[in-house]
Amino acid sequence: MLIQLTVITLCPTAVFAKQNDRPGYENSEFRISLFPRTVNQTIAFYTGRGFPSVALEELKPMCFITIGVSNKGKERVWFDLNDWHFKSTHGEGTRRLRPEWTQRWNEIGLEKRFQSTFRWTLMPEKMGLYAYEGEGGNITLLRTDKPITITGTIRVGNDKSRRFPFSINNVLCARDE
Amino acid sequence: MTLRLNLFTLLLILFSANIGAKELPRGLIHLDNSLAKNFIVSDYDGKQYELKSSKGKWVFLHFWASWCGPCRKEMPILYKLQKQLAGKPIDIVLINTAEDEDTIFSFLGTVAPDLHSYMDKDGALTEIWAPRGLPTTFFIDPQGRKRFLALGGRAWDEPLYQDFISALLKSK
Repeated sequence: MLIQLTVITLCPTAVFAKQNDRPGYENSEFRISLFPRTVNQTIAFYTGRGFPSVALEELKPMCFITIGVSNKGKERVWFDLNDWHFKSTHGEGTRRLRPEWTQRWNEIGLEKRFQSTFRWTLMPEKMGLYAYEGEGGNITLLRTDKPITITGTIRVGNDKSRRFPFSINNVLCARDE
Repeated sequence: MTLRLNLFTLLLILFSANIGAKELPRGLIHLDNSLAKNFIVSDYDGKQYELKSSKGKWVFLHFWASWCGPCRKEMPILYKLQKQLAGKPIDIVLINTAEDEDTIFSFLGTVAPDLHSYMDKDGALTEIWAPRGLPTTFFIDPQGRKRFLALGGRAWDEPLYQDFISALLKSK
């Protein structure tokens, strides 16, 4: 399970072809895939990296969704998570951002090496993907049992001139059976 | 003397420009030729490496972590590459991001036991180099300039990448 999680996190292209039933969005320019993680999956991953229990407790109320964005062509593909919205029937979903995580980790005295590992497993906030490049990582929302709609815009081209709005509906935080 | 030095520099630039002009293998991109900042890292035996000690040689600077799937896949290829390029004017420098000795030792033991890696214990060096993800490889030229970046794991044993590395070594 750990290997599967890491492969999905860092090599989304390897997984896309296998799991077409996953929520996502695809057009001729790019592909977005989502992999909601259960609490057990998330805790298992970070336990495997040696995270202390006090840090693991911080992760439990959160809904981890691994996102993969893949450039299908030769033009650059740009994403900026600031342009993305995560809405449930309760309104805007609360995404915990990198500075908030850093603040919390510092408050509990989490070692720098664990903070570094955690940051590397988060989705970059913004990036311009090169030809055929894929990038993946987690976004963290406050856990909810309501369906979430993710909307946003991807820009394509060296000058970012082509805009592609997208919407992904009915994304659910994964639950352990 | 100054003229000779300038001529030498010019020749180096011309050779380097030749690599730059050629189309790069898939997954490699040009960097901005800025000077790489010096750093010192240690391995789990305390042996140190300083970037400036590689002056005059290319540096294959590779950031990785054991939890990263593509890193795991690439390690045996890197080991072959390390053996193949021994004695050539290129240093292969692996840097693990923010893991401890035991993790690195046991991980390498299963995927590439003789592969050598340095440790970025708190992840600070990786933050400075800001790879686009893990794994990432930077190519630093013999003058210490950041020249190319490999996105993610690459099949370095394939002809396309072998030719690229051979061209680097010929360019000095």
